[in-house]
Amino acid sequence: MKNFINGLLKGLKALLEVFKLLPSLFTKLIPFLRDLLRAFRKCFYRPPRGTCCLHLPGLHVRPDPMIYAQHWLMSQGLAVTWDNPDIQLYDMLGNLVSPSDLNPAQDYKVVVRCWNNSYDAGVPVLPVYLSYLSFGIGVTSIPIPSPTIVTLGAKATANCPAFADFIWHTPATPGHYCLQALLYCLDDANPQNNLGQKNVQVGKLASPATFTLAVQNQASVRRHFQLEADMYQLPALPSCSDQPGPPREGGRLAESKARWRRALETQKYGLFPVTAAWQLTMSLQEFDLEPRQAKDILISINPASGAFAGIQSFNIHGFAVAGDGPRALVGGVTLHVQGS
Amino acid sequence: MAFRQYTKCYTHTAGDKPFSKDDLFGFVLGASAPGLIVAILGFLSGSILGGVVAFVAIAVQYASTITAVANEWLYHRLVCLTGNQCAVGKVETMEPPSTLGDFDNDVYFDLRLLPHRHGDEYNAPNTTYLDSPPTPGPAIDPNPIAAHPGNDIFTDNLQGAALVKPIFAHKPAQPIDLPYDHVPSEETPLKDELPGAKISRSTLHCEAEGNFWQAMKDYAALQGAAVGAGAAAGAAAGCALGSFFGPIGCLIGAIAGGLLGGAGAAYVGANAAFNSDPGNFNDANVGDTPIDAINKDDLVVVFGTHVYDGFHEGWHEIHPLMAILKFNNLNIQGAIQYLEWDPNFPDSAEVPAGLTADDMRAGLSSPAFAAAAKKVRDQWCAAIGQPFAPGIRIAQLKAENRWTIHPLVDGCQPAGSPPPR
Repeated sequence: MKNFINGLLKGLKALLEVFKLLPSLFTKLIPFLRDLLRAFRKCFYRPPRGTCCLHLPGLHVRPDPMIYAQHWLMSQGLAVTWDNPDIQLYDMLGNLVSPSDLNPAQDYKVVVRCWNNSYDAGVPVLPVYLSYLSFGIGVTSIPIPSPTIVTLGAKATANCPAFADFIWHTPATPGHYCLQALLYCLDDANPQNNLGQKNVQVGKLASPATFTLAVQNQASVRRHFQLEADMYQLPALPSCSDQPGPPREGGRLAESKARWRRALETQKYGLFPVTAAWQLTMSLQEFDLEPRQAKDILISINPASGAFAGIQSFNIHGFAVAGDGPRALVGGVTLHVQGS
Repeated sequence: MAFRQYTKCYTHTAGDKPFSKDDLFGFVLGASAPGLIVAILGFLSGSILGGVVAFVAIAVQYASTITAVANEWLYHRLVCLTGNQCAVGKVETMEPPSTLGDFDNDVYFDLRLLPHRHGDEYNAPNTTYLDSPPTPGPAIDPNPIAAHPGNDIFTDNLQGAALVKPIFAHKPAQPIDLPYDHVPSEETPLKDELPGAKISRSTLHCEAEGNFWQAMKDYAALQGAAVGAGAAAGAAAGCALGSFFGPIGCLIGAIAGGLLGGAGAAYVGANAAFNSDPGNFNDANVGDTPIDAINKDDLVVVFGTHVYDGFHEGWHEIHPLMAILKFNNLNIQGAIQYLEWDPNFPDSAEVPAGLTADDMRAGLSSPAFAAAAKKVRDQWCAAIGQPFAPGIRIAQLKAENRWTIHPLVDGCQPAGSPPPR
């Protein structure tokens, strides 16, 4: 009886609500008919309970640990620098050192900056692996032992970015080396933006305008290699007050697409050719390599006018084609030319 | 993040009883009584006007009953407990049978809380946690618990005690507003192991909200109109068919047709609500891979509102689920990502960093293991809960945090700050 009376009272209260809802007879009619049509199309089928697994879009959050990842950026059509801003080198006293001026057989502190492109989830245990390529483009990776574990917070939280510290004992043999940092995460929203590369010079160059670059074919088939140069550098950042707000509709994906579109308008690969003010020559620009075969490429960069002051960076990108397959980026280096 | 929430938990006051399955019939009958009485009187009048009034009463009454039930379901079913909480554990079962017919598009699963084994779950009613001092409950595998009582779920001083242990229970049992009647095993992960048994729920029920009852409420007026019209049309058709057998045939046909027409319209209307579209959202960045499914035995951390659900036999749950994050248990340099106590842990097995084989065998009875388990819980709770902390959402909306490629590629420089180099 108690439930009956409770129902009676709340039913009467609901009656008042219904009278207020009467205008919705017209405003809700079209959505109601649309939903009814959807039900008819499904033949009033309701998904069964007790299925194998749950899909929870909107609730299932994932982190997206990332660094400046050249292969990912270029796969999307952006120009890149191989002087990775997320990999910095310090001497053992903590002073920032130039990656183009390292001493052989010496300890350096390498700091890898890790970002999270997810607003919704952090990574409490994020292993960061550091390795170096013995030389040039597409060659063997040598691990720098023991990964560093960092805690990475969601975007705009206190632990984002997170910094992974390593000690790297540079090789005794002078030359170009490429440091590679890899972030490992299981349920990663985008696992393609986890590998970043920074090239360094161990030992003094004979001439700052002449570089020798080794290219090796790591594939098990013969490949055709193409080397291309450009002068892309990271852009000067605009003031945040000039930034357009997120689109009102379409959610984060629409915003993300819009930002990529804008970035491609100004930073697309191919928009930064070597200018006429410079003469950049390569001993070979296109060549074939058998599996495991390596080739030294001599690169010479000089100002057309003969004189230059300051520092200018040049990116050399290596692409490989196997048979009739697609052209794939295999690596690159950024060379800094210092004028007097 | 785009979780859906249609319900609101309420703060319980003494003497108030939340909407319950056991009270449903009486409640619906009471809510429907005025319209039914008017309709019956209208029909009994035998006039056309009386008939019209009767069908209008049916329409209005159906709409108000649906609204009353929806109000109870949405706003008077869940009692607020400890606010938004997170929980770490292993997915044990998914989508047990629905409890309000099949017209409930919520999605739910049960979580076995870290660091418990399946054998720690109760296979019978448990009231011993109310003893002074508390003693372990009737676990499926009782002997290890007897040897290491710190692993009893309700008294574990960790997630079981905080999230699953009944808060409002008394001993001796009192006739209270918020009972914890023991749950049929069919509504728990033990449905196959203990068919027909009544047990104390010892897993954490987590529920992601569907919009069915909100849509029912939104469409109540339309559904009422449809039911009234359906009943009238059914009655007219029934009378027409039954009139071959004279006035009595018309009357019987009208009653049957009216009932069928009204019920059919109600069924169709409810299906429209069930198939209503709560709207699309997409939080992804360019390049994000499709989201995997959540499977049985997945390790997850969940975040949502901790409530007492009075509609069932009475238990605590996370409702609505606001976020779920999946992770793995890879051992990377001994960093512990998940812990499960094992009373038979072999000496030869690899132990997580900072623990011994004895700790693993003692489980939460070992202070070192208990501290490690708490640390694991805290680290995952921070990973999923941080974005819900005050101020974080506002910070995430700032222009300097809207980059999607890299802060140095499509980011910006806040006024007065150096660029993020």
